Amino acid sequence: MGGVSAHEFYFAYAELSYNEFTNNLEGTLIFSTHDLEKAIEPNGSLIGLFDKLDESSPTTRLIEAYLNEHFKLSYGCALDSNAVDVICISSFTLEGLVTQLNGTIECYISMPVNALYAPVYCQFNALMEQFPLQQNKLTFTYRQHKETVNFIAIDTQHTLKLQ
Amino acid sequence: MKKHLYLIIFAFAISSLSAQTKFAQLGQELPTANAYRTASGAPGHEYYQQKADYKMDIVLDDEKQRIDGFETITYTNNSPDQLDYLWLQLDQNLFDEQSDTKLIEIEHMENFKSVGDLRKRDFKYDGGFKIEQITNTSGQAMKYFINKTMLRIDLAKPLMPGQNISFQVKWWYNINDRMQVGGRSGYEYFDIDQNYLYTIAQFFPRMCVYNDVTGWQNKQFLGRGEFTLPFGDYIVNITVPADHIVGATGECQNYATVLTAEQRKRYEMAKKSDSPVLIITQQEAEAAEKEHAQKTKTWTYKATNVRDFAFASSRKFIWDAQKQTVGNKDILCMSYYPKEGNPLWERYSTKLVAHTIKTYSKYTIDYPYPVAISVHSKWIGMEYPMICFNGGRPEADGTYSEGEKYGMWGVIIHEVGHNFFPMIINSDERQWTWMDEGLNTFVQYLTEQEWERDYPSRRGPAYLIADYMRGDVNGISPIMTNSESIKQFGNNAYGKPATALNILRETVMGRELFDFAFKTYCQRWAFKHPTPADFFRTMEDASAVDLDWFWRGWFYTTEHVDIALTDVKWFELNTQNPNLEKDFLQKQDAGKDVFIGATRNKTAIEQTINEKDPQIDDFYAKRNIYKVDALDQQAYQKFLSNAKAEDQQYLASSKEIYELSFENIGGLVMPLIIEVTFVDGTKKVERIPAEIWRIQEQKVSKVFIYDQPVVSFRLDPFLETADTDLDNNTWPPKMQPTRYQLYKQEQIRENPMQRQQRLEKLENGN
Repeated sequence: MGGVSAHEFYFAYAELSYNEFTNNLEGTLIFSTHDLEKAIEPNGSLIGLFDKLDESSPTTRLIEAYLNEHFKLSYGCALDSNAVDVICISSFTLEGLVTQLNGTIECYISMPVNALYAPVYCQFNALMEQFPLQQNKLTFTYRQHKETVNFIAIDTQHTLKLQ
Repeated sequence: MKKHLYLIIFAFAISSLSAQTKFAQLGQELPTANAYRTASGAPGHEYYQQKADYKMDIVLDDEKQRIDGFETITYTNNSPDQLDYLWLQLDQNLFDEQSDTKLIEIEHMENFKSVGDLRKRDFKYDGGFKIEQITNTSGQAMKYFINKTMLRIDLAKPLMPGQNISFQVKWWYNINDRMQVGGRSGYEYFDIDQNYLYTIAQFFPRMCVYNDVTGWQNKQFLGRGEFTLPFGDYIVNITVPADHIVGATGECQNYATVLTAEQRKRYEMAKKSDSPVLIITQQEAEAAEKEHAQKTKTWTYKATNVRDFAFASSRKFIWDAQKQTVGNKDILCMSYYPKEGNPLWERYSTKLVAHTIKTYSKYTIDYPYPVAISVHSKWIGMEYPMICFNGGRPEADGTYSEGEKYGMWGVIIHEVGHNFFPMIINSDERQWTWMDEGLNTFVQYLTEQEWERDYPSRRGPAYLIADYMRGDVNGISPIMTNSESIKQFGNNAYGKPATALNILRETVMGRELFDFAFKTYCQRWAFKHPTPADFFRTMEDASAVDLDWFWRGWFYTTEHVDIALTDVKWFELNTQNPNLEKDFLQKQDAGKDVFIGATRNKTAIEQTINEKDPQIDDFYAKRNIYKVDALDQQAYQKFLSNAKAEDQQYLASSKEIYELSFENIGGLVMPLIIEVTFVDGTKKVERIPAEIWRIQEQKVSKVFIYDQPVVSFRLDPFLETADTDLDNNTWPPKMQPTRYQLYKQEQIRENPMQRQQRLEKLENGN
């Protein structure tokens, strides 16, 4: 059975790094293009359209909203002292999208963080509502230390280490 | 840090505390060789396989979307065993209302977010086989029992070795709406012209495989693990509406009665043409769309030595064909597609078919069948002998994205390629998806690269599998997992084995050894039933390369490749020449880092006591340790008089020596490929076989000797080992840019077609 049936994939990947110079979390989410099209609009009206998106398209903002709904990061932060007394939740900005010729779409995201302290929780359940066998994988880089974690439908949240 | 190495080198015996695991031979994992399958991986001298021949009359009812069949099966028992019963596959029972496929689907309430979702969940469709009768050739009823997707016929008397039996089955079923209920075959309805396009497969009761491996193949069809069937000869009469065009497995025997004279003339032209010739044009197909004939025609097909039969039928079909020579035979390559497939299909499909059978023939065996067919079928890709159904549909306005184009190219190459794996090299898909999908995806990659230079293949290159293999392994399975239990089907059964074979070809074995061994496997097992052990053994047998460590790591585990270059030590030879060595020592001492207090004291302290009082400095204070004296010279002369001439010459050669340390973080052992960049800008690549890990599986080191200093080392510079972390591969350390950083560095983000439009406006002065 061949390549057009997108359901061979059931996999999305994310890379996320903390940029200490800009105090930003920056990264890329990678999906099978048709899977993301189907997840955002289950009736299939977006199938084939992501290849033609530009950053000003209303659909791009739809994607941004979807990603923020399904890729959430919360982290310890300090508002007015060094004490980590608050858990912050911010939204990612979708800075751009590139569809690759191998059938994947890369979504480039960033999020400003004033300071990043433990605990850092990540929830990554994108596409799982549409494809129950979906797995997502995140590689988180913090000060050159890398950690890769898996997310499945019954385990959509992980605590990330800050080493 | 550069160190000075003394000539006297001590050898240390390194004792290993770790037991050999990664390089242990595949003993218990593989079945014991026997007279049917040898330890070399070849069929044994008592290898046998059964034969199943079919004569079928099929009627396609375009009004009711129903198919009726009457088949006569002649089954030949070539085994040494007495058979008391026969088993048949009833794949269409996947669509039976009581199908296990629906029952075993794991569901959560949150999967149903709308009424539409629930309605879809509750959708009922009676799509299973209706078996009306099974009789012997005298018309006497035979006793049978249906167990879900399989049917057992109890024989009145056993079928003895060498005997055959003929019997007849009458059946029908409702064809599934592929767009509504899914499926590898079925129909697509085009509301715009009220026509149907049928792609019909796995549609008749088919004999199961009986062999030395499993006895009767007895795994139910649950939907994912596809099938394996015995080879046989087919004669099939397909009755369809008179205005339908039919494409099928095999050669049509009666074009004279089903085609017009003009169509036959074009067909004959196509058989001699090196480029596609339209046998039915789009204009003619569009005219046919309006006909809706009430009469029928019967198309007769004959296929020899195939493991299955499939066909497509529609009045919407455009049809083109060309020849492709393989060996000394001309193969007729054909495509059937509705206007909705254009402009992509008319331009590419048949050329892709021709390219695929030519290229696969080079790497496997010569394509043995007379025809190869690609049929347009929205969304899916599915393969059968000589015919396959492929997606790739442009927008309604005829435009398409570049991704859609590559998707269509890829799926046609892939599905046509399945003629070789598993239609000819007939592995058991229901047990091992990777044996056909993985091997096929590998040759697909080779074929894509010969279609277009730097073709953006989805799978094949090692670096493309890194994301899947990296990190937490809980969510993935070894390749050697039964088809129904695989986690992450696409990456596991398609991508990872294709990558593994690519690594064997490019890195572990080399192209010549690999290609010979791979072709040997294909030749040995063409028109036979291979198992994983037959493949593993043949690849080693034909290459004299022990690959057990590779099969063990890549096929039996979920470990990944992450090899780190953890340390580099730099040494130079001590020449023993005091003139050189004391000068070197002086320069090295002068270059040492200086404590800040010492630097400041040079100016802050005007004069120390010993600088004021000449009586303070004694012998030790006054001696010049860098001065070469007569004793030094005498010692050097003595050294020279004792040293061999070649040692003296070697000492004078100014060798630069590096000790590199490596750590196996991911678990998979792989060759070490190291790119060395020298101070003059030249490069060298060192290739160390994976066996360097055979004793120490976690950490190893290796010494390299060069004529000039090295400025950098880089591990896996050609991205050939699927290393999942490239940041620990370089010395001096260098982080690889992330995808995000690469995106931010790119200047042009405009849609290429829009940019082209702006450019044309600018050039036209608008």
